[in-house]
Amino acid sequence: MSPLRRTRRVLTVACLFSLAVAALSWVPAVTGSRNLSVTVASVEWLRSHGGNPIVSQIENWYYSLNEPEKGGPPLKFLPQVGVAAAAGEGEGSAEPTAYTPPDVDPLIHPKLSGEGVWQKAGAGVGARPPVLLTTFRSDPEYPQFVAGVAWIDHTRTELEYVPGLAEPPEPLEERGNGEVPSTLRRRLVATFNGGFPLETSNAGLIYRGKVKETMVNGIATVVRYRDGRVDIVKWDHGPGAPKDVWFAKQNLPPIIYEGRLNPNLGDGPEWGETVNNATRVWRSGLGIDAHGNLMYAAANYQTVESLAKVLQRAGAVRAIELDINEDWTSFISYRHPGGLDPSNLLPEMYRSPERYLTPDERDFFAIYLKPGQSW
Amino acid sequence: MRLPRNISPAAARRRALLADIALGLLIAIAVIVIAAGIGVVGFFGLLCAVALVPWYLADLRRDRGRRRPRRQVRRM
Repeated sequence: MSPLRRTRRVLTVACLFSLAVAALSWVPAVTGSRNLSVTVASVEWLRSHGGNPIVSQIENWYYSLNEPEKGGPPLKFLPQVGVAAAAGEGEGSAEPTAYTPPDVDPLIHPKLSGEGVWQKAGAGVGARPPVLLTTFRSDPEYPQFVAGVAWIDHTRTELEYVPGLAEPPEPLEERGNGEVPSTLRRRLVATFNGGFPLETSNAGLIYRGKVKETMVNGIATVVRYRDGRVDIVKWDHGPGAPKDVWFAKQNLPPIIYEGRLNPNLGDGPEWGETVNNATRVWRSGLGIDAHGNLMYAAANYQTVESLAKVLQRAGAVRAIELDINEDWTSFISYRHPGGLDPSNLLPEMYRSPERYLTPDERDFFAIYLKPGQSW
Repeated sequence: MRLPRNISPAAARRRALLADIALGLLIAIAVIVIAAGIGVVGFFGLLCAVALVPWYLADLRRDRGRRRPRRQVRRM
């Protein structure tokens, strides 16, 4: 046998043995993930078993090759979001002190029908809807891209962090089964995706008052305090958990802070071990307005900077980037109590609206009506 | 113990096969130990397999071509 063929035989043995050992880890990971395709589960497995730089590099190449062109024919209409108000519903019955956000001033003129106009997310929610939704074109250079934005009334709702089946990977005493608990669905009004996996965000997590991953100063953090208040802050409490914090989820530096865009949005290594911050992909973010109400935004073909501008345009004064890519970006509102009639914020959102009513791999946030609040 | 020097060609082939398997296993173990994670091992193992398959197929085709008896072409 020629030396070349013997080399090939050695390589074949090495290759088959390596694949067999890898399969011992890959097969349970793929068969055990309940709501992911084999491809996505395999990518996640590779990412969490040392292959994150490989996945990120391949993603960067893929998105660079599929970069959208500027311009294109203008849109004639926007996707319908929310529910149309029932006849007479809420008319004249709004509390004089209740705050509702002003409609979003569109970036592109002339504005399309309904562009930037807030719509109720749920049916029969009365004069003070807990969640409002709107869409608007997100970038004058790309007039076909549409961003979806949700506004969440902090006086009527409470935010909860729900661990997924696999994320966070740290052991939790009360992990649940990766879905909205059935006992809380009566009060459920919306759910949305969490941040990057802890392994790739190099950020911290406090869950139910206990540190599960060391907190990092300077990182944008969604905080819920024990008294129910919610905020988005630049963390400065050190690695531990302050007594008044119920949960805190960190992800990258703030993209908006005190009303201003982060000056490093255009460049810099601080945006995580993932696709480049200037790559146009599905992105999502969570902001807070000057009145303490949360605002979620998501859209396809966004850079970190364009996403931050969407949130700023909608009224956010502080904001954090959440998860990216079509596989992870979800905002789901429930049109009726009990988690009934779930609807994605944007029709292009790839994941099922039932996503968080069934066990999910990743962690997410749920918005419930406060106890005592009626639908 | 010394290995016999004068061995049949068949025994030499078996000995070479054993040596190659041992070397292949050693390389695989070294890669698994050195790699950043088992995902990386699987990824590059798969790439390696994808590269080796066409090589084997090309050899198979060549060997079949050699074994196939040539048809005699009758000249008109």
